[in-house]
Amino acid sequence: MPYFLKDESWYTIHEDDEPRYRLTAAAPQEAVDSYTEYYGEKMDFSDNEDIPPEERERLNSLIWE
Amino acid sequence: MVKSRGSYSSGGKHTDTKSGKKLIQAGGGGNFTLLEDNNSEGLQTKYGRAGFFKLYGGNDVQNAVLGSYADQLTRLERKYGAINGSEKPAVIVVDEPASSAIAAVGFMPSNPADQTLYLNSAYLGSISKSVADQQEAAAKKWSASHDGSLKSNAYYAVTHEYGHMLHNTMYSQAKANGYTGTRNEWVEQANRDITKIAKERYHVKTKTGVSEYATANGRERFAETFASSQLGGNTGMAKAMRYWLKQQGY
Repeated sequence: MPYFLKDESWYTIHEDDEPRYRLTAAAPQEAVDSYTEYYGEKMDFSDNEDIPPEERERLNSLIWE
Repeated sequence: MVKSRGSYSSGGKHTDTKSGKKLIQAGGGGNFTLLEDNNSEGLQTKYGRAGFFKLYGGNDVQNAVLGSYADQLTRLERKYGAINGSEKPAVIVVDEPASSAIAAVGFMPSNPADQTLYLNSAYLGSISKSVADQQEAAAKKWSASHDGSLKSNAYYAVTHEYGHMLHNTMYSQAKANGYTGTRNEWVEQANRDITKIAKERYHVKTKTGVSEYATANGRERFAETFASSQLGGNTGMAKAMRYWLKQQGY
């Protein structure tokens, strides 16, 4: 079981959606690290001028692994 | 995601002793073409042939380099169809030396088939650097084993990322056919099935280690095993992945 699921106050469950687990503000850094390892990372393309602005917004919402 | 572990080699001159093919120096900076058909054909066309609808960036990278990766992706795509199974998949080429990400796949959490390939030219813009970095990673068992050829070293990162695109596409197709588990659960089950094949069919007895990076999570393990299986890997796990892919209809 991932570390971020250790304490119920650290996450919320979204049964019919992805990601199923989402962290709350109460999650400590160790839980955030565990969550990142479990789900992947965010990237920021806001300043990338090779990419059209509307596409940058979409890319910023992706999870990267 | 294929990540740098901090080392950044300067690359060098290479001869592909396995294939016997002469590596042609494509210009300054120590870049080499690895394929015979990297000509003046546009990169948008090449990546379009692989199944991508758009290539962003990469203007400062030699066509021969990016074209070689497109050729490898096209070869994989002909077998597995993960790019065409995606929704408007794009390729982004960035030049970010400060980033540890060499290559990555981004996906929409609510729809993993909505995915985009990221290539960092700071690492992948030179074939010789890419080869040297990958050789080091393989030697230290950070990445999975393959046939040892320069081509396999050069294509390792894009092949690994294609593995991510494949499990995302396969999961989305399974979900469309009634699968109710999560993406992680689907990948973990696939990994268990592949490991079972490795044990029963290829007599893998002890730890089913693929690479150090494969221990990060199930998706990385799948991608590492996939890369090994497509680049001539001869381990029980690589063979099991090839067998499992056949079982899945590929």
